Amino acid sequence: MPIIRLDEIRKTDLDTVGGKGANLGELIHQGFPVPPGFVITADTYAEFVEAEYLPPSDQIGADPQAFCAAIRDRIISKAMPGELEQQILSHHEQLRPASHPEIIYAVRSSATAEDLGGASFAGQHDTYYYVNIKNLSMMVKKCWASLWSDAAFSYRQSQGIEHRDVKMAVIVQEMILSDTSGVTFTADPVSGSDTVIITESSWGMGAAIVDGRVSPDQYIVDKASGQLTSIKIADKKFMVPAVLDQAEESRLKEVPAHLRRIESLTVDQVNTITSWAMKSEAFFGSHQDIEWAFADNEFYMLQSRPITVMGQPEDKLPKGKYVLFKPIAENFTDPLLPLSQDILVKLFPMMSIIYGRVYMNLAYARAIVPLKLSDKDMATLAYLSEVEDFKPRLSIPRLLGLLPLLYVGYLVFGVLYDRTSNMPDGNMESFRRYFQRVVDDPAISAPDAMTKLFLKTGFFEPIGNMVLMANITASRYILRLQLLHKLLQRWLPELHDDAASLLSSGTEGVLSTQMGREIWNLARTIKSDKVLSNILLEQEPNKALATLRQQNDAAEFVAQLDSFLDKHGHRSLKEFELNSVRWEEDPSTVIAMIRNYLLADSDPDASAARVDEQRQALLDDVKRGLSALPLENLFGFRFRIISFVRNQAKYFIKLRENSRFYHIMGFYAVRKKILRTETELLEKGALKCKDDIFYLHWHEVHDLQSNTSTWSDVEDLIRSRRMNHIRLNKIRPPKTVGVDVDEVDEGPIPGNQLKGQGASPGSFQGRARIIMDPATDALIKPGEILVAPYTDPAWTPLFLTANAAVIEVGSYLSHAGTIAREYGMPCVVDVPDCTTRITNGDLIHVDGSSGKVTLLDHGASKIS
Amino acid sequence: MILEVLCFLLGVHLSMMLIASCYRLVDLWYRITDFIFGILTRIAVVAALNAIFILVLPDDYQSAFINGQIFFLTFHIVIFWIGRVFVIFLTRR
Repeated sequence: MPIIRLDEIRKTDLDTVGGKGANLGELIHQGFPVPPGFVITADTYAEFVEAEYLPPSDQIGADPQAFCAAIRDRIISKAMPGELEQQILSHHEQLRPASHPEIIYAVRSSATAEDLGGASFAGQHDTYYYVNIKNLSMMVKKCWASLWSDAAFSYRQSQGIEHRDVKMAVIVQEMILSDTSGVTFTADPVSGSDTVIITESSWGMGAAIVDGRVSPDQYIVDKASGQLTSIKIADKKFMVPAVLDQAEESRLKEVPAHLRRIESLTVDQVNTITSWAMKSEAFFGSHQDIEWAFADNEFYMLQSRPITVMGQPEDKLPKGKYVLFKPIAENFTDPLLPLSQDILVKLFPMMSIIYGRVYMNLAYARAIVPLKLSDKDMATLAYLSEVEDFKPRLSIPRLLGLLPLLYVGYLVFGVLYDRTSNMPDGNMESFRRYFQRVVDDPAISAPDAMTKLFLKTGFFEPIGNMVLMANITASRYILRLQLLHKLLQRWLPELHDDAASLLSSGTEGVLSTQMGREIWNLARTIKSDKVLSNILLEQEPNKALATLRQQNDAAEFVAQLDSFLDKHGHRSLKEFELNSVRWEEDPSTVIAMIRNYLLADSDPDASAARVDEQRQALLDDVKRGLSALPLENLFGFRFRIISFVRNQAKYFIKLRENSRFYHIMGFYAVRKKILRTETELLEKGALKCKDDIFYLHWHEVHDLQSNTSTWSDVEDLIRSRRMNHIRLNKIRPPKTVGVDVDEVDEGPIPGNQLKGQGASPGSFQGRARIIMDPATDALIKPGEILVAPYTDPAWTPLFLTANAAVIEVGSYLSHAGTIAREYGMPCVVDVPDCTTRITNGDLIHVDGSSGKVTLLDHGASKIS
Repeated sequence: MILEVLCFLLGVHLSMMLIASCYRLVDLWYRITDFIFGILTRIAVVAALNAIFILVLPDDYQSAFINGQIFFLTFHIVIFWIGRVFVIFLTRR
């Protein structure tokens, strides 16, 4: 029989219908809700390819790739026998319900050696979705041909499987147009633990999860009790919708903003999945990997097979000692994608990528620190944590060795330091023109753009074109701040410890604080028109913007927004990641922030005026206090010194923030170059899907450009890297590698307190508002406290509304600290797990001076 | 000897300041009309300082001072090209 219906198949038919087909048939027989379908048997394949004439493995010859290619070509070009075509058509007619004439199929490979417990052929044989009756025969032949893909061939070779003995059945199964789909493991495939059932789910069709294109929600159920023990809601950016828009070039669609961060399964649905997963495991007698879908709340089991990889392979760790250097690490909270790793980090030899994160090689730090420090203390300092009993001793030999090095540093950077001192506002605007020149030049590749914009500036280039250098020289503000602190302590010991921080804030011309203000101004512009603001409030951001662009009344707002995007359009969330979509490409984040201002009804002017008053009052106190000191009334030299140091600190803080504004623009130039390359590769078929390019290393992209490699060479690579990226995302990277530092689990300390690092002085008590992504859930009201996993400049607008901030990662020097000080709000950073330990609506007290966060009524009151 | 070394180092530093002052013409070129007076004043002051030292220092110290200036000017140009080679090395890793 060349074709067998799935419900006629039993598990004993493995030789005829392959492992996958036998499993599905047996599942239907046992009452599992498997979608209907039929299998074109393995013997039909053997007859079609005349398998008996294929040579045995040891006689294939020296060029197996050519051998495989010839077989693939023969299968694809050979016509399907008429009788087989007729039988396929007949089974199709039987499946087709009267109510749903346009049935579509998933066409899956089911090799006779597949999924046999010991060997996993996962991803090596083809599966096709959205197949209609017109192209069904061709897809069946493609599945047969995939048995002879280079990857499948070498895998069989490595497993010692005789090639001509393996046959390929093809499953043709009705495709369920799912609302939600996912995979379930009846044991943890990473740790190997068999006490849990892990379900990963997302919106739409399952392909997005299986291909690693989305970070799915994760539900963990305790196997013994059946209790749901953990839910992790991911930011589900993309989905493969059930119904494809033929005009769209990509199957991936963006998930509507309101669905991105909500649970994709109800508890009842999790229970349903768990129940079927347990039955499947009990039936097959081994841990199962199940693909499933929900359509109209109806559960379907799409596939069940043994978990073939159990336990986590260890990440390869480099030799040496590495530490997460906090000022850098806080910009890289998520693992970097391969292309970003190549382009950003390769230029800095002191950095290494481990667990996808940027680590600093401790050997480089040791070379420039003239202190006798253990590796542990060195690593702790690099992470900007306090070292217990820290009594550093100066190493004279190191110091003597360092002095010439310091002098060479002075000679190399002296001119640069002098040039960056005391420059007027906007001195880096020239970078915008430089950026445009580099973007417009088609001869400049992405890595070359990176080098040109950041390192290889010409001899007569203005300082504005050396934004990275300006950023590095701006770190002088730390010394100025410390000096200011010491001077105040010496002359005015009665002043509070935070006086230096408050005095050095409130600088005009800081671009990231201006950005927050400009978004607020946009909200103010549109707020005056009820109709227009309702459009913004009621419609999806991009749709709202499209509507507003067509309204004459919205001309002023649209012009203001366009001008904003011209200036700040290169910014985005996680802007060090080249894969991050910039505001100019998709302004929905900006629109969401404007909308939040409309809802929040805050008044940043009043708040700014209050902080200005505090600052002025402090300055008056300083002047008054100093006037009591000898000769101060006569010459006022102490106040002059304090004013000078204060102005210097303010200037370099501004230089640091503003230079970052421009070097992010440089990253956008690199991204534009990458996107241009991606378009070329998509057009010539070397890549199949947008976004895939970021999962390749640059030399692999180059190989695709030069036709040295093709899509088939990188397809599996991209898939496995996507899966690995999701895995790395779930890992909390250790602070050190190769250095034994106690990583204490910082549980709540007595009194319901969380300990962090004070980044902006002052204290405030209010309700917590946890924001994981300002693009989707950024509604924060005046009087609330922002609790966030990290912040970068894209989060700045939230600081205008919040009254205090608690941030999971960061340091005094981090963006959150700098902006909080500018806005005069208390801020505590480096509070581990604050986004999970604090819940929305908790009444908390934030002390930005001592770095303490106190939970006053944890879980008692929730924000509706 | 020590004074000669100090004069050499002073020459290096003033040369650095003079180069940085001249760079202001490039750095602020796009707003040169706003800043030209300040830039020229700064260049004139630093150049005058250099000239004063050259004129007032005794012969031995004067040559140490001038050597310091010539050394830094040469160093500044050479280090720029060494930096370029280093960047090329990094990008080809």
